[in-house]
Order: sequence, then structure tokens, then C-alpha cells
Amino acid sequence: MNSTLTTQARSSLSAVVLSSGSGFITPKYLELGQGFGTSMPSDETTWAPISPRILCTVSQATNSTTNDTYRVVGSYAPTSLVNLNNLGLFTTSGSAPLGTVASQINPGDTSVVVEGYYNFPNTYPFDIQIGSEVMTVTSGNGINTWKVTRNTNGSSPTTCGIPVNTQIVGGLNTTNGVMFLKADFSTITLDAGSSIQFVIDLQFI
Amino acid sequence: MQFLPVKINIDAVITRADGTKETLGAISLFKKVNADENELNTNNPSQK
Repeated sequence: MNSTLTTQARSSLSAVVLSSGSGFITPKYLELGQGFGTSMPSDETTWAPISPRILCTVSQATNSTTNDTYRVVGSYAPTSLVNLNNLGLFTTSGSAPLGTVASQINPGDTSVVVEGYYNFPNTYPFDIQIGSEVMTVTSGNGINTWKVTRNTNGSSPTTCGIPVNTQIVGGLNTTNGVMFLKADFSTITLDAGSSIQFVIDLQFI
Repeated sequence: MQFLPVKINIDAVITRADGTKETLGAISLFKKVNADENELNTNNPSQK
């Protein structure tokens, strides 16, 4: 299992310490995902997200010293079988727009043909994430194709072709909002009638 | 060397349809933010 504070979270927390973080939004929406990968600070989305996000109970908690921990507690009860592999903690309740790759994306390509074009904003720029690579969409043709800047937000470029039907998830400047924390883990299979409660502690030590 | 450590711990409890409970302490982990190197270091890779 890996988990990480995202680049956006690190920036927000340092701004709070600097007393310039008055716009800080509490990350209290849990999103679960059914996709595989290794969590990276550059990630802006979960993999194969499940909608809707879960409004969690948040509080200060004590692990070592008084109130040293930000605690998030959220529960999920699927209506059909799911295989959970990752989660993200977000500042907004809205889910990310989703699409799929409609024409293979090769290394160095700066055009993305997308199925689900109209699920995404028509104002630019905004970010998308495909696998672990974040791309910034700088313009669109109004039909099905974006111009993109590859491997943004510190992400690594995908070194092989990204095949047709690979999921595209909206990132910054979409309804995705800001992901604060991400974790991946071994598959947890849940069927209808079961439920799971997550307790996420972010402890300053 | 200066450290600004952050510990992220995630636990989960599953309640199955038949009422049985499973505690997933195994998905807890430990990471540090190293202020000097500006990177996260996994301290518990065995949980992967």
C-alpha cells in the first residue's frame, strides 16, 4: 500500500502555516476507486472512481499528543459487487467528469481524441489524468479532440501507447475539485449487503 | 537535518452481509515528509 499527500495538499498546508491559507477547504469527501496504480503526489484523481463521493465525519483526534491528528471517518455500502483498490480525499462533493481514449495516444502526442468530450469543461485550461499521467487540456475542437500539454503537475510521461478505451478522469478545474490525499491498497471485494468503514488519520508528529 | 513528519494511517472495518466483521488494520502505513529532501519516504513497504 502507498499513500501520499498530493502536491495541492502540500501547497495548501504550507499556506495555512504562512497564515495565507484563509481559503483552505476542509477535505472531507471520500472517493473510492476500482483501478490499479501506485499513488503519487502528482495524482489529481482516483483510478476508476465510484460515484458519488462519501461525506465523512471529520474531527481532531489524539494519537501521541493532544489533537495532533486530523481524522476522517466514512462508510460505504455498495449496491452491487465492487473491487476497491484506491481512495482519495477531496475538498468537494462533486465527482470528476469521465471519458475514454478514442484513439491511441502515443508518447509525445499532444492531441487526445476523447469519447465523452461533452462531459468535460468547455473552458480552458483544465487537467485530466490518464493512468498516472496528468495532462493539461489547453484547447478543444468543439467535437472530440483536445490539445494537451503532457505530464504536467510533476507527473511522469506514459512511456508506452495509451490504448483505446482507457479511462480519462477530470482533474483540476473540473468538477473533480482538489484531491488532498490518495492511497492504493490490495483489492477489497465487497458485495451488496456488505459495508466498509474507513478511518483515515493524518497525524503531525 | 530537519524533519516535518506526517503519519498517514488508514484502517477499515468490513461488515459482511451475514453480519460478520473483518478489521483491515493491514492497510495502515507510515510515511514521512522529509523537509530537507522534499519527498515522501515509505517506511512500511511490507503493507503493499
